[in-house]
Amino acid sequence: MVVSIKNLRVEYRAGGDSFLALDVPAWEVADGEQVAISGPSGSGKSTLLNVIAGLLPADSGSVTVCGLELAGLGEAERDRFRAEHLAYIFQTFNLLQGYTALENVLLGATFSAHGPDRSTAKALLETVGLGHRLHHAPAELSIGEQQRVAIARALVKKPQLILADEPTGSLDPRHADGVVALLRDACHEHACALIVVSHEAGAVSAFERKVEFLSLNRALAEGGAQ
Amino acid sequence: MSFWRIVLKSLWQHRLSTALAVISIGLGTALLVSAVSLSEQTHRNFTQEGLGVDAVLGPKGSPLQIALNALYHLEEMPGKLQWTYYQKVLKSEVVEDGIPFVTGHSYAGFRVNAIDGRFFTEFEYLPGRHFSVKPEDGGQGRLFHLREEAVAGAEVAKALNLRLGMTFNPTCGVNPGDPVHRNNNITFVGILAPTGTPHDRAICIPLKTFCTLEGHGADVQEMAVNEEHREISGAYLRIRRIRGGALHPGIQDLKYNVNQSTQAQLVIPNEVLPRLFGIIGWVDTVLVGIAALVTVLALLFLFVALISALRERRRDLALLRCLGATRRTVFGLILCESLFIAVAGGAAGMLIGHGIVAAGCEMIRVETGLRFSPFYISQADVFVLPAVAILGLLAGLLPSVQAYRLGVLRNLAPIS
Repeated sequence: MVVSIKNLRVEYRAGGDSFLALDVPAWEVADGEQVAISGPSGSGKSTLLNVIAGLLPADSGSVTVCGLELAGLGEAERDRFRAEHLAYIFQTFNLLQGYTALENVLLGATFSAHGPDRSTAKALLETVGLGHRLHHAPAELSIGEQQRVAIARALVKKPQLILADEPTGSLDPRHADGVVALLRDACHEHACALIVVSHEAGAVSAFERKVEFLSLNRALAEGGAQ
Repeated sequence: MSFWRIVLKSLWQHRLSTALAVISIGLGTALLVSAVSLSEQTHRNFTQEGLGVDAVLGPKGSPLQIALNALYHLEEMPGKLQWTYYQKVLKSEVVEDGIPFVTGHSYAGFRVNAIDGRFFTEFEYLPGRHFSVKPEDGGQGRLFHLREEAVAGAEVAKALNLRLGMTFNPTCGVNPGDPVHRNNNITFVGILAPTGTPHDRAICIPLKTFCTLEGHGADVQEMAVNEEHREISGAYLRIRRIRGGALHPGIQDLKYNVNQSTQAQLVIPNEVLPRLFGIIGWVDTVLVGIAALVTVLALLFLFVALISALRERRRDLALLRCLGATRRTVFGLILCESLFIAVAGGAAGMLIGHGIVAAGCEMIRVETGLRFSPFYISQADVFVLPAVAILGLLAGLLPSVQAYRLGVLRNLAPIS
């Protein structure tokens, strides 16, 4: 299993108050599996991805990703875990503005052990249809092109798992379908597991395994999350 | 994409603030480097070289005034001393040689000194260096032989566009409005090769010519023939050396004896000139202090620039963390940027500082005859770069800590 979650609980605390954001009794994703999680905004989908990415520590429970129990890792180890094993794609602000498309892709592998490979980065940009825009700055690319650069960057370090948080949220339906298809094909080709969260039904319709987040997160039933 | 490439990319991304920080640190450092270099070289010029003179025999008066007049052709001699007394001092066992001179005349703003002709052949203006009029050394003509002949220093010749055979009438005095010896047409027969010393700014005439200048009274005219009545402004003395090239210790006894007399005093330039720095040393301190303050202010500017750049870069740094950069990596990124800017500014400042000295040294040489070198390595050259680097690291420390403590999720896409 690339992801294995047991009795996960995450609480947010603000101003002395706390509320339960996540309560997931058990959930797994197999190696190379592609999963779409859908649910309304504020239901805790991004929180779940952040926990899996090691960006947000769980308050209790067990989260094992790529064979590593995240609760047992220190912050630097979780940074290295992210550098080596997984990639993250966001809805917006995916790219560093001062870097070209090619440099942004190279950054994806900069912190991993095997380091960035220029020819691989170029090939990936070719794959996502941006071979002619290697040296363009993000500001010179459309949102859809930026998302494709982000997909290339996610793949460049050959991760075991890609997390995509609303990757089509800023795209029109025609481009959204194209980006999702590209992401799925690329993950399939690289034998990489994929978890996509989206509040849009269209974005998740193509996935064989679809998870309705309302059924996964018991905190919602208890009145938590927002 | 290496760590250093990310540092350089970031600096380029904020190139305006980077350039401003480098320039401001560079200017502060340049000021510091040039101030220290000029200060040290001035000190060295006045204290270590002595311009080939072990001692100056002069009249009673301010020793500093005598040293400045005899060696740098500044000020005026406070009086005259008897030729017979000079001859008596010359016989001292510690005195190896002496070259008498008379100051107090000028031409077109340059001093005209009447001096013994052996000045050109026996006197060493720097250890082992004699005056020359040879064309291969940059000189022209010959040394003077007759009373109505003169030899000009290189700077005088250049400034007055002198040619051999030109004549002049010396002014009896060194101040504007002093009378001119109109009927003495003294001919320039030689131009000395440049020495890089104050002697480049003087005109030399034969010692006895002073006595025979038209307009001087009969008593002065008599000095030319009667040694009992002859007076001179002073004499450069060469003192015997003992092993290791040190001055004969008897010079202190000689100085005591001469200074006890009512006629003259013995001035040792290397003892007297450092006193000058006791008087004007605070100017150096203030200058260096101001330069140091400007450098520190520039580094404060760097600190502010880094802090404000960090506000703009929070999302980029959070993204890097998300890509696997550790807290230490982002800490190091900011610190290295600060270090790079400080070192680049410091290095640029050192170059500019030496450029300032290069521009200034020619001007100082023309004005005073003092030799300065743009390649002189001062204390500032040794300590300024490490100091600026350390201060740069300190300036970058707080922004680096802020980057280290940056919350990744807070600065990425909003949590749904």
